[in-house]
Amino acid sequence: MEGGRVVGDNNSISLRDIARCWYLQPQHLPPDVERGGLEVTEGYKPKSDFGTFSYATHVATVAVDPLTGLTEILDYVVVEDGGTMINPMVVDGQITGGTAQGIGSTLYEATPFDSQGQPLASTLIDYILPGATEVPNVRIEHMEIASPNTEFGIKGIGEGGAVGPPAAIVCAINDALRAKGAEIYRLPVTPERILESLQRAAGATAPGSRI
Amino acid sequence: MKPVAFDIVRARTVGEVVQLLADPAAGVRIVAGSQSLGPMLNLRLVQPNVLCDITGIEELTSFREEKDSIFVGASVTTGSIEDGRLPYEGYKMLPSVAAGIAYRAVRNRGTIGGSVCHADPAADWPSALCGLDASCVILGSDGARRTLPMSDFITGAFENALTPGEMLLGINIPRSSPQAKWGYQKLCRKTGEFASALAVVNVDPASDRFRLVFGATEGRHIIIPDFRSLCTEQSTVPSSDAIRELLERLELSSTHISQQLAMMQRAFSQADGSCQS
Repeated sequence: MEGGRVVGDNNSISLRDIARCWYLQPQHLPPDVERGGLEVTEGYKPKSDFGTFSYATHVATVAVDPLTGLTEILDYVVVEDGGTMINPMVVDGQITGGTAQGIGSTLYEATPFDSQGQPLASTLIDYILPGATEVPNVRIEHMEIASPNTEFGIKGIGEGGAVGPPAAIVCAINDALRAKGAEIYRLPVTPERILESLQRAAGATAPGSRI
Repeated sequence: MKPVAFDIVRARTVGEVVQLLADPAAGVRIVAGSQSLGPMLNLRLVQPNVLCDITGIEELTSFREEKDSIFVGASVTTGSIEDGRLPYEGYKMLPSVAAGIAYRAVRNRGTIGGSVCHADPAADWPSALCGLDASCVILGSDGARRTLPMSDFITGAFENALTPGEMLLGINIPRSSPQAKWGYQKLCRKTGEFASALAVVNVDPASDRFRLVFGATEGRHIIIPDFRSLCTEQSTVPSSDAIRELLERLELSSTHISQQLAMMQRAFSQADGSCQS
């Protein structure tokens, strides 16, 4: 190899031409070509065997309607330290997708059963998933503090976004409910649970009444 | 998620349809847009021998303006109503209701008659049409036609007044005066989901209409044909206490009552802003 070209006795060819030939013009390959393809796999072992965690803070701003019990997410910010990002687009995708999952478990998803053990959410008609209109435009800031333990300073980022939303959103909801003396601590936070907590607080004789 | 095996017949005339329906043992179900029937077939809640497709019958896919009303064929799609296929003057609420039903893919196929016959208390058309004081035109297997107010056509959750052998031809919707005001508000946990509370207000003094309807109940719609009796002297809006008392008598849960009241208040606010003159 010299300067991105493979050099032989009399001639040379660029890696780009080799790749084009392999994928698009295989009829020009020599009959005795190595069939393993143009792939190389390398493994490595990080210095630490205890995982390469990323860190994140989630902050939500919500509006709670005290008459309907509906929660609307007005703004959602994630600051994530995923170490050095190899592909920032994929990192953002993992954070946004994970946050959508977390919004689902916070506000919508549940698998209830009736007293006979019959599942009440056996299809997607009954099992509510957040859709495009329920997931806000998640604002993401990256910190990129390189891990000292891994090649390139990378950290694990997969699905990290799913962990934060229950805490962030429920805290925001409880901040809104606090003025009325109500509090929520069960997921998912359905409109009915919010209204029950408000009604209980309104009728409560003892302070700190919970549902 | 697979339906039982069934045959499909594409009817050309309504006479052909009622002829098929005349034999109760034949297990015939009418299908149009299949937006409610489809899932029920797949869950095998419905196991027909024959599906009779009525979307090729022109009488059912068209509308007809009459003196004081419009007749909308049972197979007119929600999407076409959203797109303004019906006249706007006199029927302003219809495209707005249509645009809020489920998703466009559902509206493209789902029909107004199918929704009414399915009689889901949380669906939009039954509530909206109860609010508009519409009526259903029904054809029997003997060829006789009868008309039922929408509020009598829907007899309970997922139950309608069609007797064996009958089919819904379409819906007669009374024309509103230019001064009419309307409000239509529903509460959905998620865009496109069925409503968990729903209120319709229809105020048209020219027709002496002061109607209030609650949908998304557990059973039939709650219809207040003249809400003026529930208004206090100074107000043109029913008092929340009076409505709350009424809903409590129907044994709705306290959370559900709060949601219905919110929808009612918003429907009246919307109605206040809806007068064009």
